[in-house]
Amino acid sequence: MRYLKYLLAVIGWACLLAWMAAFLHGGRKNVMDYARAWIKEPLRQGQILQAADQRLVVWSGWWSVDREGIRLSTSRSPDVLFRWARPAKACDLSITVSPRLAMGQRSQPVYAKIDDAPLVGPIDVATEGTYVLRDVGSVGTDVNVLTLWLPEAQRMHAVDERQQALGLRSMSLTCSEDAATP
Amino acid sequence: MRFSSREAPLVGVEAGLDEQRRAWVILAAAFTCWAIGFFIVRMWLLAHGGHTLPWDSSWYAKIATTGYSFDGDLMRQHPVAFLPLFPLLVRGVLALGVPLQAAVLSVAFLSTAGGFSLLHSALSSRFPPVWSAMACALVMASPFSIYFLNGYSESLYLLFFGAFWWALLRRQDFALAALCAGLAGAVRPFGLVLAVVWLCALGWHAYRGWLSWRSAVLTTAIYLPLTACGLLLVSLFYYVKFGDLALYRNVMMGWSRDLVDGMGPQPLALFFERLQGAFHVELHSLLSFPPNFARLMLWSFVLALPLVVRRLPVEIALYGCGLVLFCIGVTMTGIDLGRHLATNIALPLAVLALAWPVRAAISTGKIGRWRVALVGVLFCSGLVVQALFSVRYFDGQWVS
Repeated sequence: MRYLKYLLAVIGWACLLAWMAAFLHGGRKNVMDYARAWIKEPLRQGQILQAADQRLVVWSGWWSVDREGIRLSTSRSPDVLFRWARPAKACDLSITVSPRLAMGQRSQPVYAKIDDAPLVGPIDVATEGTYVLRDVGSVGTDVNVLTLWLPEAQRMHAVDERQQALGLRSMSLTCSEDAATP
Repeated sequence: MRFSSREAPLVGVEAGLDEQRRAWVILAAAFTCWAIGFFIVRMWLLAHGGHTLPWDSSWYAKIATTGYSFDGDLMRQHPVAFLPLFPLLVRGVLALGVPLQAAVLSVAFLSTAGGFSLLHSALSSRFPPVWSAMACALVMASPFSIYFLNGYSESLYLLFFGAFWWALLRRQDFALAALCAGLAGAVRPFGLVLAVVWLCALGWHAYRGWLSWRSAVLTTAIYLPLTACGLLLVSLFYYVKFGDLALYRNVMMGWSRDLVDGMGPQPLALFFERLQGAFHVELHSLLSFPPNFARLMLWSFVLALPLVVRRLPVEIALYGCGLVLFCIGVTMTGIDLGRHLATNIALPLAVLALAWPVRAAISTGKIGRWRVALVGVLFCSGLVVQALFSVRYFDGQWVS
């Protein structure tokens, strides 16, 4: 019995040491590693990204695409992960959206930012149309994260925390200046 | 607070043979009623177009038959989000020639039966055996206990959970308890809470003088890694097969759809927002679905815990607190563990329901007629609520 307990202790330590060895060997990935592997092609200047696209970007957050091709965000802060060909800054975001308004609500505020840039906005989305958010941040060649912030999103069902926030038809980014240029 | 040890004889050990036998009869009767009720509801639902292995149990069945797969797309749902020990046992039963559905349900059923037996045995070391059996009966009658019998890995977690308490409270064997905590971690990630309880219990024993500090430190140094061996092994398995030690966490983030840390309020404000949101959700669910009153009980227990914690054995109180903190902490990252909290918090709640009102009665072992009647009513009404909950759950409504 005593030897069995020693064996158990050895198994515990062996697991821990093997795990640490794998960890030090770089065995741990994060979600950005997966996004890097998944997104093969960078977005281009002014390229219109259709909401139903599953190839150029990773849609993070609760999104669902309806029959009309509108991507419904059911998160208050959905993200779009994408790559860009060259470093650039001062990017303008153009989004074609239809608001999801609660009863009595006239418009929905939308903010946006790329990576760690400060939030830009709000723009008040009252009717379906194209809206532009100026200078939402800079982009690099690695995976970039475009975050939308929809503070007045409506709770979809009372029994969960998902928010019905925005219907997105398409979006595009226009970056005016190459960050590498002095 | 009474704390059993070698210096303070165990209440359950002092109990007479007749009382112990009576307690086992109560436990067996409660389990039989519960299981029969559960299967009657299942048969009725199957006759009305229900599935044999609904929701997550079909994932376990799939893993048991075809193994794990992962294509690198985190935004899809993958079997790697389900830890391997439960499907591994199902695969073992399948090798005996048992049909798939029967294999999943029989592993769940046997694990649950074993789990409650061990739990009863463990609690008997702190409470009179009849009380312990009744506490287990109340856990069975909790609405969320359907997850123990419906082919989920909660059942196997219950087995290791019961074994952990049995090793810790009755055997006072820290090596065995560490192993059980480790195995629980290979079934459900909150098995890690048991590792924390194990460590705190060791410190508590040393603090109370039942163990020298030197022994406590030595035991920690020798066995602490064992308490997390299950999760470590799973992590290594994913690393060997898919090249990622953190695959489970990454896939869970993908499952909850939020790959990037959420915007909005900072942690403290987020905590209050979540709390407010949770109460809003509870209120709405109570109004829309009366059986959810059981959830209100769980919430009131969580809120009252600081006031009544002195009435509970230290380790069980620690488990309750640790579980709440773990689930809130994980939920902050976007992964919802509400169901797991609701399923597992029932034990401290049941012990509390019996032990709190008249603490002095514990030492005499006499439970009193009114309390037997109350437990009986609670048990029966719990089964009714559970049946309603089952109908809603198996009818395709995701209520967790």
